[in-house]
Amino acid sequence: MYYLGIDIGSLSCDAVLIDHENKIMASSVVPTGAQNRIAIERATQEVFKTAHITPKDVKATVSTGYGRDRVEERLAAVTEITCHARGIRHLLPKTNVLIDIGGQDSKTIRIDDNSLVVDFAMNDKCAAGTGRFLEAMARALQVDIEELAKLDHGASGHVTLSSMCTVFAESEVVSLIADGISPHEIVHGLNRAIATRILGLVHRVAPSINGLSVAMSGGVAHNSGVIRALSEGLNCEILVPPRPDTVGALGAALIARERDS
Amino acid sequence: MDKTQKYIGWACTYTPLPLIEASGFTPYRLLPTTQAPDRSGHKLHDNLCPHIKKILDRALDNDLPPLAGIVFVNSCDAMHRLADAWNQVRPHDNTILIDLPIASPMLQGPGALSTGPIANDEKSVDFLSQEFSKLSQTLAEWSGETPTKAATQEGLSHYHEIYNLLDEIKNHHIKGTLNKGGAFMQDLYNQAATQSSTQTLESLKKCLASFQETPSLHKGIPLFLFGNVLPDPEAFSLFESCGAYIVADNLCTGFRQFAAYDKIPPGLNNDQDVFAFLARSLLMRTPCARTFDPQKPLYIADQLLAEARSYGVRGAIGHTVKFCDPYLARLPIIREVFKKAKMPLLLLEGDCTLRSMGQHRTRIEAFVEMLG
Amino acid sequence: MISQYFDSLISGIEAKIKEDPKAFHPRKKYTLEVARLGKRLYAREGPIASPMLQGPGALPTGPIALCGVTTPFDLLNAMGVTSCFVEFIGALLASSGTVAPFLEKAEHSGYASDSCGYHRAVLGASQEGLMPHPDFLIATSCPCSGGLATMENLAHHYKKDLFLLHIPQDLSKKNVDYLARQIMEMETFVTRHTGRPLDPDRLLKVIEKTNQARELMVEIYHLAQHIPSPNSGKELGNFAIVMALLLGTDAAIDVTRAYRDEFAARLHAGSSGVPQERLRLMWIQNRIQFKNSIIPDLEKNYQASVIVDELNSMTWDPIDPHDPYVGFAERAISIPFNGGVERRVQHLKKLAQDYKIDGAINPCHWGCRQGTGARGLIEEGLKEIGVPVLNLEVDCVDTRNYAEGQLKTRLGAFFEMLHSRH
Repeated sequence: MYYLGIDIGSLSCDAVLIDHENKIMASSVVPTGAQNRIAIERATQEVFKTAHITPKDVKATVSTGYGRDRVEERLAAVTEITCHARGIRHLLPKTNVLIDIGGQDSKTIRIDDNSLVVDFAMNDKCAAGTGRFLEAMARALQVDIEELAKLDHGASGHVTLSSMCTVFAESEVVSLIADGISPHEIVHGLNRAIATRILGLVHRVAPSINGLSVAMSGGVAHNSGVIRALSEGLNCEILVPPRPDTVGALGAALIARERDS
Repeated sequence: MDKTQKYIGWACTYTPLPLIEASGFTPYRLLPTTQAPDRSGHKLHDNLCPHIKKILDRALDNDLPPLAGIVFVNSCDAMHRLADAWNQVRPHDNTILIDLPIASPMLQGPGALSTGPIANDEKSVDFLSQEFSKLSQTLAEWSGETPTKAATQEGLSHYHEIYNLLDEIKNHHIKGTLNKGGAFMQDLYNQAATQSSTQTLESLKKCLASFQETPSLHKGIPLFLFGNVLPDPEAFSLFESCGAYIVADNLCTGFRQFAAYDKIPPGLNNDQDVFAFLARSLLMRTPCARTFDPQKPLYIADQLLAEARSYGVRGAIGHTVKFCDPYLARLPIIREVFKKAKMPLLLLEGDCTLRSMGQHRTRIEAFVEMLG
Repeated sequence: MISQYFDSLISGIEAKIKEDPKAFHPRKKYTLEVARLGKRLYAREGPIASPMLQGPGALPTGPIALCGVTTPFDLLNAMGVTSCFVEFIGALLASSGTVAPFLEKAEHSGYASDSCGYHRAVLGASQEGLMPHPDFLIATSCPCSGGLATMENLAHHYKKDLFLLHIPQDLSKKNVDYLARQIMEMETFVTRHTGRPLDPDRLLKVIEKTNQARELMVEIYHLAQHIPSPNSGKELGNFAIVMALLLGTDAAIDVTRAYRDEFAARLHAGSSGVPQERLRLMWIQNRIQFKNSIIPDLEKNYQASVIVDELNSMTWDPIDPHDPYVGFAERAISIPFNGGVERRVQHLKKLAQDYKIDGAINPCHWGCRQGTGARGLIEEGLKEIGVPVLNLEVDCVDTRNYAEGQLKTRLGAFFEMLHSRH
């Protein structure tokens, strides 16, 4: 018996398949594109293929993410907040605070010892500090997103970005390049700006993180530079699970299994 | 709209509705529900609360019934700017601005202070009473008639009756036996705010007459909703579609509009008594964040918590409109007090439209999941 | 720590004045008095049990009060209280370049970044223990709802008594009497907290000094109307609003006299604040409190001089020493920020005409519903008399949100337009 979780985000559609013992059998990440029905189909076909199963083998499906109501054959649509909490505690059982930074939004979730959400804070009104923001900055610096993650090494940290709006920050970065400021310093400044933004969201759910375990998920969790800046800002270690972009889909699959029994 | 009636526009729940009726007018609340295009940002500034901006947009677009006049209240900076701009864009309208004091005497209801009135606050009552006297004279000039004692008494008793009937319907809604949902309640409030008290009494009595108590069918998580402006009944349907059942509200587009009329004391023999009574009632009723007692700073948080607890809810939602300075400054203490009391709280910020509510769907559903 | 900052600022300025008395500028005197006030406000770096003025343990600086903008500060000066409106601290933090962490602190504790930066700075500083520790607070309903809410928050934070002055909107006799009675009650409130009633003789002396400073301010403003003006952009920035804190003291007289003498001397010598003054500007409401090059640039590049600020004008009559509370009340009600925008626009129109203004700059301070909320109406009002307005969307306190390039583009375009009209 298998259980499927599908996270339909604005940028990517992720699917995770687990078995009756909560073991991850397969996962996939595909771009959502303009038609999320096609993305849902592709994401699910990929996991079925990897796991060598057919749709009939799936006992229950839970969907999450902004497009969660578009999965027709679902047991339930559950918000990404609940799913992320469930998913991260499966991968990192001691997590108390989760920072999730996706393509277009960011959120922080306070989780109790029963993997239940105690509080949450979201920023989905602007792209500042999200994957989209970093993509724009990578473009301005003419590097790819993977290179951007490592570019802050060796920076002294004297550059501060004054604008967090994606559009204005991009033009600020272009001006800094024109002024001869090194990309290392610029990226360090960017990471610190993102961290400052996210710290506000963390404080909303956890005014003090003393004694709490903090983890990160979402696409931006691949960016070690941002993680370094967050870790410095919070003065604590930030744990990142393997496949951080599929934490929501994993949580959805786990909930599918729980609700089916 | 009833063409035989003469409407007086109003926008703030500190407006003494019985005085408007006593002068032969029908109070018509200028709700911020309109398709009028956004032009008020240019007239004033974009970063003002959407409540007053949409009201001003209605004025700019002439999306208004014929109004014999408008009563504004100086309840906050944005409200004052609304009055300022209205006088510019519709200079031929009759308008008056009531200057509203800040200090409230002791509060009523859950969380009421046990201490007696404070000298500072009695001055507030006197001041507001005199403002109401000025209002009454102005309304008389607009109507061409001085309100009679009988008309004033009728106005008071009508709004008292409206309070009682709404309270009765509200109690059924709280128990869940009304089985009509929050949209129905909000619709009742909107009707009561935009038609004469006589029409409102008729429709409320009809509602109660046809009412048959049924077992509670609502399945949502019971929640208390507080804040300021949320007049669209569909917003309440949206809450319910997310699994939240709004048991009771403390909104200025909700029950708070009529909360001041819960009691009519005997012996209001003359106008001064009536003005003083209305001033005290309005300043004492469950407050908007702009009114506070200087002897108990930030008491609003305790008061809201007490109110939420009195309804036996599982959590609370605070919905305020963007750029509302009175609420923005009190949200941190509200959050802190609710957190300490372990009363789950979700804070939402909107723009008076259903569109902004739609964006909140994920938050509301996540909150309900968290409580479930 | 903050006290040391003011100490070094004071000794720096005193040294400069001593070094070259001829190069002395009244702005130095103004800054010196601001620093001295700052030092008095931060004289004790923590709370104390009793702020009494007399008896064992009496403080040399007296009790400290945090207040709203329209508090009668000369009355508090007469009662030996050191006080300021809280936005004064916000401005000091911004001008010293230290404001950003306090804004962040406030935002992290839940105060929305949509709200006014003066208030966020103050609330953040209070949480960090870096506001002057008040013994009591006096809030005023004018100028704004945000300021009033800030005072309520501070009273809660410090657990100190709060007195509330409701400033009515209209200048009617009934309203003046109402406010005068409140001010009398405020005096009783202050006496209860200081242990010493107001000395009537001291009040008389203070009122005399207030009126003296007032006369000098009227002279300054009159001199500044001259074409070309002896005034220039930086000289009278924040002047009247800060002078309100010093009214009734010798410091206010010294500063105002210094400006009056300097402006008179310039006129006598035939010199102007900005050499070859070409454009005369009015500055509306708020100055940008942190260091920026807007004014030096417009003076250098466009020979444009900010010769009048909305707040640098006299809107109140001398205080009658026989009926001071009525005078204090009339003064509070008559400030340009009180009442409707129509009154404010009339005031701006009068200033524009008296000073023969070519254009006005309105720094629309972020989060300001009271002031910036009237942007469109002010622009329309001044347009009626042919005065163009440049609206700058700017946060006057938050250095993190300052987009200099964008502002300079707008200013440049505005001045090019003004030049082309001449």
